[in-house]
This record gives sequence, structure tokens and C-alpha cells, in this order.
Amino acid sequence: MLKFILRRLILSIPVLLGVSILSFLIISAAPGNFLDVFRLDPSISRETVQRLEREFGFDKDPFTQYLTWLFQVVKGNWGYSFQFKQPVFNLIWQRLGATLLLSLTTLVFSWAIGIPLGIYAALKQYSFKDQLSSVIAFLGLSIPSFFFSLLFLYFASRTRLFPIGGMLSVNSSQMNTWELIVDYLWHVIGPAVTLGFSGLAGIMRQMRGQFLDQLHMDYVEFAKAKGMPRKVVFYKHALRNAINPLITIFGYSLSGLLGGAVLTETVFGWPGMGRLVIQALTAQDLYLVMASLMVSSLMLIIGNLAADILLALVDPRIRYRFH
Amino acid sequence: MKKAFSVLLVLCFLLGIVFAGIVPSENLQYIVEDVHGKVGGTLYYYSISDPKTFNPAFAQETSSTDITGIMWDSLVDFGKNDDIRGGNLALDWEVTPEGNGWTFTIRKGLQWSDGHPLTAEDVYWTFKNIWFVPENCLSTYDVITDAQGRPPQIEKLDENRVKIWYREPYAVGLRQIGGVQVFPKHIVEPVLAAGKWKEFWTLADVNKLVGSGPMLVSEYLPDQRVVLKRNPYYFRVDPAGNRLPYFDTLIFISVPNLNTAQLKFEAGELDYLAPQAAQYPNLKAQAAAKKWDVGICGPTYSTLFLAFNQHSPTKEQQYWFRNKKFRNALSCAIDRETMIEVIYNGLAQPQWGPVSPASPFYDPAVEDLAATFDIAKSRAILKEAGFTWNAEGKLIDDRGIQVKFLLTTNAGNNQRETACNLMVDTFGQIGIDVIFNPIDFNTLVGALTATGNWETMVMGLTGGPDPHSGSNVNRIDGDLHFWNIHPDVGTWADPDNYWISNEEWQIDRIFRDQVREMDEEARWQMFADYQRLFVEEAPLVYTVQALRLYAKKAELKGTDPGSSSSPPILWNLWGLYRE
Repeated sequence: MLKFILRRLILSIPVLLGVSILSFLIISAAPGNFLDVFRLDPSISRETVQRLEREFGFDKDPFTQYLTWLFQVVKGNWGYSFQFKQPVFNLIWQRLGATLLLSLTTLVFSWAIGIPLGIYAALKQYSFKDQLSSVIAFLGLSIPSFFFSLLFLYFASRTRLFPIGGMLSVNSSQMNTWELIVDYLWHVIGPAVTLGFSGLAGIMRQMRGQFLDQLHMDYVEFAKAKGMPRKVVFYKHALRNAINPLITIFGYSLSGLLGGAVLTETVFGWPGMGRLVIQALTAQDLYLVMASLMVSSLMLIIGNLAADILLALVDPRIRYRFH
Repeated sequence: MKKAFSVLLVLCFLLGIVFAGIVPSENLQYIVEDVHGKVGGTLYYYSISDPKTFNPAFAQETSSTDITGIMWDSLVDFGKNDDIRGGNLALDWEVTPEGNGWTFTIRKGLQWSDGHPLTAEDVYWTFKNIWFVPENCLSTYDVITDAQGRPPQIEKLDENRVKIWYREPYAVGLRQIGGVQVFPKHIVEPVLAAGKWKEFWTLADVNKLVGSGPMLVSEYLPDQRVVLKRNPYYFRVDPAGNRLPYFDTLIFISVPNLNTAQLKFEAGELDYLAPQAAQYPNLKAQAAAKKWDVGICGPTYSTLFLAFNQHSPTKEQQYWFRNKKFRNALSCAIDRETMIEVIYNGLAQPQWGPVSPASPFYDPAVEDLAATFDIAKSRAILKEAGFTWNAEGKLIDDRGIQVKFLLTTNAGNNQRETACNLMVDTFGQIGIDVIFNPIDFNTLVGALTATGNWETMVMGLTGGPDPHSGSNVNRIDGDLHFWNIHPDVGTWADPDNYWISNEEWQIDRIFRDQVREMDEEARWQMFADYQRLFVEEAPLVYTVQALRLYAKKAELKGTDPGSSSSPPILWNLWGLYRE
């Protein structure tokens, strides 16, 4: 198993290199650069723009720029953001906590509700409750997250049950630790529910479909005929087989943990990485964009690896292939 | 007895120190503002995007300058329309005998927020080491240099006076010099010497901020809020002797989406909102019931114009675009009223010339030259210019070539795209085939400044209270004289095919001469001529201008929103209070 993990990690290095080269090429090929806004400002002279170009290294060809960046990254220096004049690493680190809080909560919300709901729907197939949960699931799937966020905020502003966006209350600096935790959780409900709803729908339908497949298999009928208690048949045997493809999906969900959900974050004013990256993209803040792309690629690789390991843990057939 | 006496002495001494901080000392030449409010409370404001830095020398976008503008002061005070209101750090100033500069007398007794005295030495040092050195400030250097790109000179006359002068009289110099901010020498000098100025006062340096303004940043949570707290040494008081600002705290809440901002305002979490035209009717209807003040501040300095590339890559278009009558005819074919209704819900006004009505240099005579929407008149002018219509009703020039061109603007900007679509329709009514193709912003900038690969464009440029800020646009050799770029400046202009009209020469002349004209009346007249020439010549056809709107809680008093470039109600932050 260890050899397997090591091999995967070593193979991921060329993948990351490839991603970085491609990203850098595409960004360099895009018209203009960070200084375009300055060019169109009547109060800034051409000389100033040229001086800034030299300062930011835009006068060199893309290949040299890329190599410079790569050597710096290997040394641990992720570069400076043009907009913020701060190290890129600091900027990402500040928003990491907020992003993780939101994505983990969303993950828990959609999985903790999706799996049981899927099982329940499968067991009570074609009943009224099954149809109802399907309708709710499809509703969540079809409403765009942007609109859903606005609906939620409107509901929050009318009923005052939830805060209208943001991550902390205005007086959060005067709160003690316990109140702070409650404040965080109270604020994260809105974005988590919005984001989780569409994920929930997918998981529920998948779970239901897989579980139904298993329930119609011969071994289940055989176990029931032999007199095994229904609970054991369903939750010890059938569920373990049904959950197999969902583990893979879970692994992919892990890789999306640090991606950030831009539209939801913008509407709720959640200080996550999604908004940071979009701002960087629009302004062509080169090193910030590169850093966030590398982080997403790394998370994707780790997520895939985690999915494979989990699968091996759950499914004995795969485990034996490693030996 | 002796012990009690000495304790009493120490107590009086301590009390004296405390009161010295609360009540302005006799030595301070403070400004008395005519405001009468209640001390205390928090003002809840919002911002669409986060600041990128707290360093005014490197702040480029308004999200940063809105905040740095509060923390540091300039020599001159500007009012609600960016008009010169009086002295700020400067008590007074006089024009030098040669007429090429000013002697500023700095207020006595000023202090920085850490208690250190603020003197003419700080002023002298800031100009000499920051604003006069291009590497130490982003674009302000370009702003304070004279028309030939030369910075002024500065001399410290004594403890309280500095003299700043240019080589020759430079009229707009007072506004430029008076508008840049002064930094604490005792804080910045060591940083500059260590070569760390560029990374100083970034968002991570909240606890190193030392300024002279009414409030200073005390807390910053990325993408969430910026909290400013009162500066106990601020040099403004009200007639009752209260040290301003009235508010203890100002909070900028980060609200990236305008719909969310509206919801927050309606729920009472924000004290102020800058509504869009679409949100305005709804807010106005609720204003009485919810105890809000909702209204119109007035015109802004933003512009929206149609530009014709006189060096168009399609050669036959150059012939039409260089024809003044052609441009005038097209101006008559722009339905400005419909634009105002459709794009701005009626909350805009037509714009005829390059200077905004918000500017003190605006000449109302421009309105007499207004080109109201009149298809028949447009056709008449075209006929005069030698254009005719073929059998299908399409416009053709006197060489028989059909008139058609590409119209572009930056993709994603709904207002500009709608304006373009309306123009396609009305130009079609005079027989012109216009193909509208919005393109990405960066490509647009490249077309305007590097390749010249555009035919016509709907664009906007930021303006200011003094038309001098448009020098780069109006001078024939300007970097942004993009409709008829000089061959030395833009490589796509063919030197053998370069023509400047008489009016453009005159405008260029005006912009070169006005810098030296110190007499305000004469300068105003020069710019009045400029506006008349520009409207007649119409190299750019101006369309409409949005009106600035505001919505605030009625209990927030002291507000006086105008057309200033900073947030409309924060120009007099010191005078705001809650009832």
C-alpha cells in the first residue's frame, strides 16, 4: 500500500509541472496584462507604465518569466500579488480558513442528508415520500446557485432568522470563543445550504439508484430466504456494495474543497478563495492566479489519491490487487 | 500632609495631560467647522470590493483610496464637488511674486495620531522624497509634474512655511500640489532608507498606521470589513469646542453584490446606499415609511461617448470619419432620451460636451449647441456633406461607396452594450449599416493604445473638476488622443496620411496655454472656448451621463453629497452624526 501511495505522489509531479506550464502559456497568450487599466487612465503617463512593466517583469518573454517563477516556487517564494503588494502565500492562507469552513460544512450537509435520504427513498420506492424527496432534489438541482443565494438572503432579511451575508457579525471582536464559534456557524448556514442543496440532490439520486440495484441482486434474496434479519442484510451487506461508486464521488468532492464557490461567495460576501481568484483573474494578477491554480491541481491529485485509498479500504477486491 | 499634597500635585499633573488630549490646546490652530451634532456612535458604510493596500502612494483603485483618503491629509481642503474649500494642513497660502508657485503656511500645533508634532518639515520631506521621486509613488508623480513633465521645486522657508514653485506659471498646480497627502517623516524615513517603502502600509500593517486624518484603521478582516477609529489629535472642532469627528467608529462592510447591499440597507444594517437606477424607484417609494432620505446628488464626472477612428484600418472610412458634418449628422441620429429611459430609468441627463455640469468650468452655452434627436435634420446634414442614398435606402458617399462600419465596446458592460444597440437601430434609420461587436476589455485597451485596430467605439473616460486632467486626451500628441493619434505616438497612424483640422489645432493650443494662465476668469473663458470648439468639431460625440443617487437613513445627519470623487457622504466625515 505504501509503495502505491509513494508511486502516485511521484507521478503527480510531472502532472503539476504540466498544469503550470499550460496555465502560464494560456495566461500569457491572453491579450493585455495587469497594467491595462493603467494604460487607459488619462492621469498616468506612458513612461510610468513602461517603468512598471520593467518592474513587474513583463518586458521579458513568457519562457523566461515562467522559469523565474518556477525557480522561486521551488525555493518557497510564491511571488507577490500586483494588486495587494503582499506575498501571494499570505493572501491565500488568510482565506484558507474561511474556504475550508464553508466547503467542509457543505460536504457534511449534503452527504449527511443525501445518503440517508437516498437509502430511505430506495427502501420506500415509488411511495409518496420517495416522490416528494425526488421533487425536492430536482428543485435543488435546477435552481441556479446565484438565484438560490439571493432567495435565501431575501428570506433572511424578512424573517431575521439568519444573517444577511458575511462571515462574522460586526461586533465579533468583542465576543468570547464560545460566542465566536456560534457566530461562525450561524453565518455559514446560509452559504452551506445554498451550495449543499444541489450536491445533495445528486448524492441522493445516486445512492437511491445504487441501493436499488443491490436490492434486486440474488444474494439479497438468498440472505432474506435464509432468515437473516432485514437490517443486517441491508446495512451490513447491500449498503457496503452500493456505496462503492459514491466513494469515488466523495474523493472528487474532497478535491473541490479549496476551489471555492465564486457566485455564492460573492452574493453572501463570504471571504473565500473563490472571490480572491476571480478578482485576480479579472485583473490579470499573474502570480496569484498561478498559485491558486497550483493549489487546485494539488487538491485534485490528493483527492483522487484519497478516493483510491478509501476504495481499497472498503472494497476487498481492490485491496487484494495491491498485494 | 506633605504626602497628600504631592499626591494631589501628581493627580493634577495627570489630569492636565488627560485634558490636554481632550480639549484642543491653545497652541493648535484648529479649524472650526459650522456643524452641531452629537458625539459618539458608529457609522456603518459598505464597499463593493476590498482595499488592496493602505499606502496612498501606491493605491490605484477607489476601494483603497476611499480609505487612505480618510487617514492622511493634504495641504488644501476639497469640498463636496472637489472644489477648493480652504486650507487643510495649510492655514493659508500666497501666490509667489513671480506667479509660478505658492508659499504655504502650515497650521501650528498639529500632531500625528501618535502624538508626534506635524510641521513643515513633514511637508517638505514628503514632497522631496516621495512625490518628487517616480519610483516612490505610482502615478501621482505624473499628476504634480507640469505640462512638460518637470516636477516642481520645494524649499522650507522656516518652521511653518514651505514654498513650492514651477519653472513657469502653472495654473492647476495649486490643485495638484494641494491635493497630495503628507506623511509622517519620523515613521517613513527609516522605512524608505531600508528600501522597504513599497511593502509598507500594506493590508498586513494595520498597527503601523500613523496619520493625521479624522479616523485611522484599527481592524481589518480580509473581504469582510475595515474598521476605522477616531483620531484623538484631529485638528477640527465644532463651535461648542467638541473635537471632531462626531462618530467614534466607521465600519466599511465588504458587500460584493449590489443586491445584497440593498437587502442590508433595507434591514437597517447599513446607514447609506448608493443605489443603481433600477433600484431607485423601489427605495424612493418606501422612503417615507422606513424613515430614509432618498434622492439625487447630481451629475458625475463619468462620460459616455461615441468615437470615430480617423486612422481606421478600413481606408474608405477615414474619408467619412474625418468629415465634421458626418460626425455632426450622426450626433443628431443618437436618441439620447430613449437611452436615458432604457438604460438609466430616467435618472440620467444628456451630455453635449466634454466637461461635466458638475465642474466649475462647465459652460452652459454648450446646451445651445445641443444636437437633439432629429432624423430629418441628420439626413439634411448628410446631404450637405455630399452623401446620398441608393435604391435600397442605404447611405453612400460621393464616391459611391456604401457607408458601413463596426461598432464596439467592452463586453459585459450592460449599459454600454444597450447604448450601442440603440445606436445601431437609429443609425439604420439614416441608412447606415452598423455591425455591433463587443470585445473583451483588455483587447479594447490594446486596440486603443497599441494596434489602432478599431473603427468606431462607445467608451467612457474618467474626468475631473478641472478639464486639465484631460490633457492627455485633447493634446494632439497626447497618449490618449486616440481618435486621431499622432504618428510619433501611435505606430498605426500613417505619417503621409495625417491631417489635423483647424479646430483640433485650436484645442491643442488652448490646452498648452491654459497651464500658464493664472487669472481664473481668463482660464475659465479658455475652457469655455474649448467646449464650444469640441461640440462643433465633435471628434467624440457625447451621449448621456448618469446622475448620482443616494439613499440614507434619515437619522444620519450632516450629509451633503455632491459629485466628488470620494464616496459622496464621506468628504465631510468629520461633520456627520446620528440624531
